[in-house]
Amino acid sequence: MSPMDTNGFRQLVFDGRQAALHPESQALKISRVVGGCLSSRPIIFSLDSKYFFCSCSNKIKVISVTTGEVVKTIFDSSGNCHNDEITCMMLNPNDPQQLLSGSLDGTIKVWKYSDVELLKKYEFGIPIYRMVILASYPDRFFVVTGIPCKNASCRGKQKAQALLYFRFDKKDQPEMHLLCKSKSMCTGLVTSPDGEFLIISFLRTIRIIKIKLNQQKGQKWPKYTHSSNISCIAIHPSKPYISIGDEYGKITHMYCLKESQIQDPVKSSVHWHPHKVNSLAFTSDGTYLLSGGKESVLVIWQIETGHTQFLPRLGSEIRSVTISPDQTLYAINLLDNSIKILSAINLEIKQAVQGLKHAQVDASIYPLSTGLVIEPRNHLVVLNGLPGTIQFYNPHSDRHVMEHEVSQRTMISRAFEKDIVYPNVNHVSFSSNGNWMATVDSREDGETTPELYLKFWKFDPNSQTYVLNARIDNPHSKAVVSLNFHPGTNDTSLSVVTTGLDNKFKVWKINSESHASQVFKDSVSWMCKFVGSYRQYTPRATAFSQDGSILSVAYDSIITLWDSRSNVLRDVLTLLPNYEFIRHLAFTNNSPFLVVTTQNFLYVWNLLTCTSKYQLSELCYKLLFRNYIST
Amino acid sequence: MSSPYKKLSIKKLPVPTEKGTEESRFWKRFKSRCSLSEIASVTSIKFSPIQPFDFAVTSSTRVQIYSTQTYKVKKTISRFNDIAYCGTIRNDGKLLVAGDATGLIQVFDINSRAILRTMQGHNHPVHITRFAPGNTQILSCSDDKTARIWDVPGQEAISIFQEHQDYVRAGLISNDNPHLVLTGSYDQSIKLWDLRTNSCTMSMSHGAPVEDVLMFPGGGMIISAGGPTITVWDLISGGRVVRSVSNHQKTITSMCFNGSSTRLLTGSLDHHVKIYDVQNYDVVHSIEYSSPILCIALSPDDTNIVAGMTCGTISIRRRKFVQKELSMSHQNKQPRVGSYKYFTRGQTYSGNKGDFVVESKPRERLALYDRYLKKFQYSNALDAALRNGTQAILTISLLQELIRRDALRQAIVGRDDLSLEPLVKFLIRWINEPRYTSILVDVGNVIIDVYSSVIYKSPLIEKLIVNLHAKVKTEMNLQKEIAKIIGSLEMVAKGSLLTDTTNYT
Repeated sequence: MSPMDTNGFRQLVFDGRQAALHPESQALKISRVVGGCLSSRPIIFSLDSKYFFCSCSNKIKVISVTTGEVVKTIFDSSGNCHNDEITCMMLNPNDPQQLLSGSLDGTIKVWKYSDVELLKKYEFGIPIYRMVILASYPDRFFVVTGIPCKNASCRGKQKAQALLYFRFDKKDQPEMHLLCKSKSMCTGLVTSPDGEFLIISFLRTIRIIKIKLNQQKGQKWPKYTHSSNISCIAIHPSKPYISIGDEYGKITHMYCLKESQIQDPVKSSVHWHPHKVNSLAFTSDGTYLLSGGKESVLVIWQIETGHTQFLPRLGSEIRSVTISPDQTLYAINLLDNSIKILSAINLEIKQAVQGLKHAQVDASIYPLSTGLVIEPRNHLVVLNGLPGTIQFYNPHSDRHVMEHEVSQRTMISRAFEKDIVYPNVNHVSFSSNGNWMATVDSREDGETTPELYLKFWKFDPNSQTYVLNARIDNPHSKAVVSLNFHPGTNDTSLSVVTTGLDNKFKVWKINSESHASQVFKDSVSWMCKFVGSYRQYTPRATAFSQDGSILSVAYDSIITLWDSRSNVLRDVLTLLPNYEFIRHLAFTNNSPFLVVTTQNFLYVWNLLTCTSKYQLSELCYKLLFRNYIST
Repeated sequence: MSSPYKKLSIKKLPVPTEKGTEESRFWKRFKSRCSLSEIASVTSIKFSPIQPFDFAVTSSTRVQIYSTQTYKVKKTISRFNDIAYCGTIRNDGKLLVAGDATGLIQVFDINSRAILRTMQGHNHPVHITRFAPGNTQILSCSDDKTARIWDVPGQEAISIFQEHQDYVRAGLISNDNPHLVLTGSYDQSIKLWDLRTNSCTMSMSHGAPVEDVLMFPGGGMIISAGGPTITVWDLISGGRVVRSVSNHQKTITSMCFNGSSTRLLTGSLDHHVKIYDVQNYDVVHSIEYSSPILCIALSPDDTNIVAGMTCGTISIRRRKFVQKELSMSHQNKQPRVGSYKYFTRGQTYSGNKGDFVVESKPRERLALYDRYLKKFQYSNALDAALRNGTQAILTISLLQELIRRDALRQAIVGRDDLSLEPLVKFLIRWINEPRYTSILVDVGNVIIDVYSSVIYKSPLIEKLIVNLHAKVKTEMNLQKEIAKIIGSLEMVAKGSLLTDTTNYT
């Protein structure tokens, strides 16, 4: 695992061929790390609005607006990259060819992005959460820092944060001043376009700092407290007010930048969002305000008239909104790890960059239950996407290929406090030639009757997608534990085996009426052909032998071998220490061995003699196992 | 719009795989039913051999001619002194012949209903009258044990066949050889007569009083019906029995062929019409009627099955046309200039094969419930899906969607008794349908949760809830009974399996 694999979502794909060639070699190398969180931080447009920069862990991707391709990755192997996650980026106001990136490793680096060259590196020694540089004062930084948190889970939820002012002298030695601090986390740091004011907001408070670097003691602005938790702030480009979005969806305009209004600022507010406002952005002429939040609706406010325009059904929660320097593009970062570039003129999507999904959802409600499945047609990796969907990801080109909606789902935001429970895809399996896909999806909210569906999808070569062929409601009376396709390649005699917590395993067979008349020529249906159980044990895993003749079903610590053609029990194998449950089961290729893993052991059975051949205690068995699957 | 609104996906439930063959599907297409009633039992139904295939129904003392387009009476001929029998239309559709219980045979002009010829000679009821293929002769079979051939212009019998020992109740003249006459009698014999020699050339014994005879085109094979059996005879090999089939419980009263003589229909007193494939005489389809059948007829274009019954009812089943057949008939019609159709012609023209088609994006039409769902007006959406005439599966899909959106309660609260009534009625109607039960139980729970404190205030809802309770209770009892039966059946099955020592299923 890479050291950076803490915040961003990672996908490890092992090079299966390597392991197959050298089964004895102990060293399994990570050949590639793909995926990553693209949309967690606001993106930055280049000055000509032709490219945008998005941070992905410790790398910065330069993506073309017209093609959506990654043009460059600011990340070189010579140790020049950041050692920790990049938290903030900005263009150098004095030279727009330079990109500054601040990171949790305590450095700010200046890159020339056109040829990926590190120009300068500033050492701060403290993690950087936000930063601001002003055009008139190079080498001077306003930096938001916090007490570093070792625990990965609380990262990003820093409690105490402070705004510091750094000034680097000729020898790059920093001189530091503390400007303000708070016990809560910083929710926004903006400067006015003329560089006169610096505004920082914490959870409940807003501080305004007038930048007069010569004399620190100037007119002191009071500490404003807001009535509710602030989620984001923005400053109007020409008028003396700031806009504050809060967690109840209200946007408050506070006129506090004129010296006459310091003590008792005038406030006005607009309210459309029912949930937290995640981002606010003004257009440069100050006519429009863009806001987005959990409703996945982009709201465009015409400030003078109060007229609102909506762009609904963006697919996922809006994390941040960015406007390009030439004011023709709006960029929206969405929670589903995608960035959408909209044309400001007709609000049509011009470009969309999609990263690997699933990390954004709550893993305790929607676990990665499908595991990683290799799709046989194009060798894509298939795994859970957003709840109710699966995604096809190309690990070689690091691209999200397709999202497949297993159960139709309309993204709507919750009406009350309780979150809406979406269906989750539990299992995915493919037939060996990829013509058929089987999925199991379920929905259980604890109140209404649980839904459980087994669905069969047929590949449609015209649309290159899978089309629903059959849906079986409640294939098992309890949750489905595993789903496996028979390895046969003949499309007319496919079969699928499912096991459930109702202690049964079921064999589903394709039922193609070849003898039927022309009316029902391509009627293909699926039927349950066999229901099996073994002494009321709970089945854990199933596997077919390579030639498809043997079906092995693993119960707690017992393996049963069935003739897959006649569905007759052939043999029962018992593990010696029977206190551990079987987790995985796999037949080896071209040899009569059955590999079984439990939590601490790995067994290899010789099926000709039905004796246990090896018994290993291996901790990293799981890696090995994956390789068996992928080869 | 960033992404289009997703319409409500309507659940599809599995349909049981259709067992039946192509054949039975064809016969099942005779669906639309029409019943006409006569004053007495219908003794004969005969189709006119020419378009538009009107049929003559003989019942009591009259013969009525019905149209197959409207099933209305076109003509009524009631100039009989006693009960009329066997009104038969001539090949050209202009004349009709019928016998009656006094032994009189009358020939009518269908158009004017005038009696053209009257033939006297039989002194017992004449049950069979047929025109010969040449249109100038008539065959009559009578209860006086004779069959006669009459010359129509001369009004006199030219041949009299007297060898039968009992009533002659079946007879026909071969279409291919007008010199051959076939009669069947209650003395159980079938006799083939040759007009050239005026003698019986072949006699076969059916084994039961013969009710009807049929001859295949070509004249080589005949079928006789008597008692509950039909017997197929080969005339060319000297009257050999080819096949004898008995599929009815009671006497077969009537037989007919379909238009191409590839299927045989038999009607019987046991209320059934059976259809046989004449290749192997297997029953390919069976139709049940409400009363014993006296006569059966299939229109020459295979679109109408008409059955006459003892209770005086005529049942007509018309085959639904397949879309293809219909469109074929309308293809060449050009719309009248200036008519609405004229201006909208060519709307469905899809271009030639090589044409480049510019795709137009049709405006998406949303159903009413979808429009409400789009606006998050859940209560209205539910009302829209509960309107009269909505399919149950649509309502179920909407309820499922509301559950998924966590909006079921939102859609149900705040109703008065009148607006709650359709929902509760829907529950009562469908809660015991196993495919819907799980969703409807959830809906019922929410209704009880929300309204339990105010239900007693509305007598309407209170009554409905009591009904619902009763229905659920009945269903519970039924399920318990089913479980008991399954248990006892399993015991029986296990007992029979005791010899098998396997301990797995």
